[in-house]
Amino acid sequence: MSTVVAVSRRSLPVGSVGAHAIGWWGMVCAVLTEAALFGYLLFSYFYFAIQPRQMAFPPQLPPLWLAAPNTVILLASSVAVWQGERGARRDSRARQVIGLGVGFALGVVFVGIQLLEWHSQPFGLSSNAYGSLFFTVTGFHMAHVILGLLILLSLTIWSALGYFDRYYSAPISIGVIYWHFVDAVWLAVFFSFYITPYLGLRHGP
Amino acid sequence: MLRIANLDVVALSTPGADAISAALAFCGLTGSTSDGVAFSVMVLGAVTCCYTFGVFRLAHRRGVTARDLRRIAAFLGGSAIVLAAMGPPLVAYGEQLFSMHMIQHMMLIIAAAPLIAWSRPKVMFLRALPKETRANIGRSARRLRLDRFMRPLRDPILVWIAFCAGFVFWHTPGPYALAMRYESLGLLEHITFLLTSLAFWMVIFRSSMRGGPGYGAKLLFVLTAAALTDLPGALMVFAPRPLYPEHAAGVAGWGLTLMQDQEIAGLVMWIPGGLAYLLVAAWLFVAWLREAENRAVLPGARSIANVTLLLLVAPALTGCNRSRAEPIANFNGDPERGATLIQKYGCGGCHDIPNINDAEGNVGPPLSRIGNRIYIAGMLRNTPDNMLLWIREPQRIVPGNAMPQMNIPEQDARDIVAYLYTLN
Repeated sequence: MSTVVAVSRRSLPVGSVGAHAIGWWGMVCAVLTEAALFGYLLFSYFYFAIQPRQMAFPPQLPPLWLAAPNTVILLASSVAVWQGERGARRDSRARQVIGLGVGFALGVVFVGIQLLEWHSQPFGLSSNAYGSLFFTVTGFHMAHVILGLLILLSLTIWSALGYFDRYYSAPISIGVIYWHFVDAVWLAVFFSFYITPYLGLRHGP
Repeated sequence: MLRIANLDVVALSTPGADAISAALAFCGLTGSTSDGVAFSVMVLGAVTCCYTFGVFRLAHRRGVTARDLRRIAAFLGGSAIVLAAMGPPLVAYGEQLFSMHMIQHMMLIIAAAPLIAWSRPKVMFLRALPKETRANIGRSARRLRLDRFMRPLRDPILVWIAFCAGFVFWHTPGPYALAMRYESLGLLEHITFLLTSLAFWMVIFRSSMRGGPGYGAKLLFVLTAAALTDLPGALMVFAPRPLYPEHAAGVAGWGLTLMQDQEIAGLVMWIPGGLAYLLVAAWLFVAWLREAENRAVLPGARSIANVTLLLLVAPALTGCNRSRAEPIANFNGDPERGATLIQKYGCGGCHDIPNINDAEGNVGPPLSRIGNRIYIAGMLRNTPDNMLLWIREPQRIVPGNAMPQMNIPEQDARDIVAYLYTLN
């Protein structure tokens, strides 16, 4: 009589396996708590924006010539890492490395342009309520971008070393969730600080 | 008054607003109130006629069940609410009072849209057509691969973004002022609310069995949207200045100030709106718990087992500590044949099974006293039908587990189960 022994397709995996691994749940919970933080921060901005007029709101509408292209760059980086994740699922290491690498590079460009944007503001962190809000919110977002860039850099290096394939790509999916989150938060920040003043939500002269 | 006039200028002196007003005036899209109302009533009337016709055809073909009647009532109720919100008395009040305008929005978003979404309008509209036309539509939809274009309308993330973005956009002072000034934009505002909220509620009513999101995802979907769409209401309540000065003339006729009107409007948006989302979230949570409870018995197993379960329930109520000999009497399996089949299929390679030659495997659990165990595979309740299902389809129940799919015919599996239940 023969003995049936079930063996996994490869050697036993190390760490999280499958799409909804423990790390996935951890990342989703982290994203939810961070989203709540940004919810409070943006609400405080809006609370400021509805106050009576002439309360330190910049006289001119926020300039879009740096922020709008920067938003497009960050969106493009999200598309790139999404392609990288698909590459991992289809066992294409080139696509995986290029996607993650391009995402990382675009993220670095975003940080550079954001530093220019900070530098070009006529107000500082402590000049008035608007300045404090602007630098607190965009600064918090910047901190998240830098953490995301560290994640993307590690994932790019590990991908190049061939750590991931079709069966074991949970770290890529988990890291990519964080990057999409950073992107979504920027969209919310951009909409609040740069778009709503054009939609009439700001103090008068 | 000067303050208000100033603010009006601020709200509208935004770049783009002038261009939009010029473009609208050019296109002649600045019609009177009655045009818009007539348009909405005509569209709604046509839609309701189609739906009613579909219902009649359905009644003609197979009769109407109580569930159909509930759906019909929901559709008619939803359409009536849309008509009331976009019809004569409320439209006029909504132009005067901001709070009344918010009541219109709430009627569309949290009353009419869920009712219509729940009534499955698509099915009834298709039924309204003759059979050949329906078949033709189905064929061309397949040929054009229409489902690929429809998929974004069902994607929870895209629907969430569209719903929240539409809601927030039209409630910011600039676009709101434009919608008040140009009637066509006002209509577009209400159509945006109605369509995005229809898509929103359809995601919630779409069962996960039909490709909709699971209950946890739906809860997240509702609660995050609730938090975001309550935010404008909270801001309206807390704002120390009037944000929507277009109503300055209208509120005077009602003996209110702009500030009072705005605070009432904020509360309308915040409290009934939040309550509706909370109720839906509670309903989803209860459904989620119920699903978790039901998961112990698989849906497929339950339909096979219905009759047997009925027979099982009566003795089960009399006492818990009983042997499995009673239920197996109704199960229709031959234990002796089962014992030889167990040898034939080689179950003993993995399991230690009493009274079977060479059945000393150490891969799976030993099957001694299996008839008295509470669970199969740690998740299925130990009933003969579940055991039958587990033996035949172990990989479907727990994909990737060590028990191989042996493609055992049903009668063989029944006999094996019958033998296993002699082991108590």
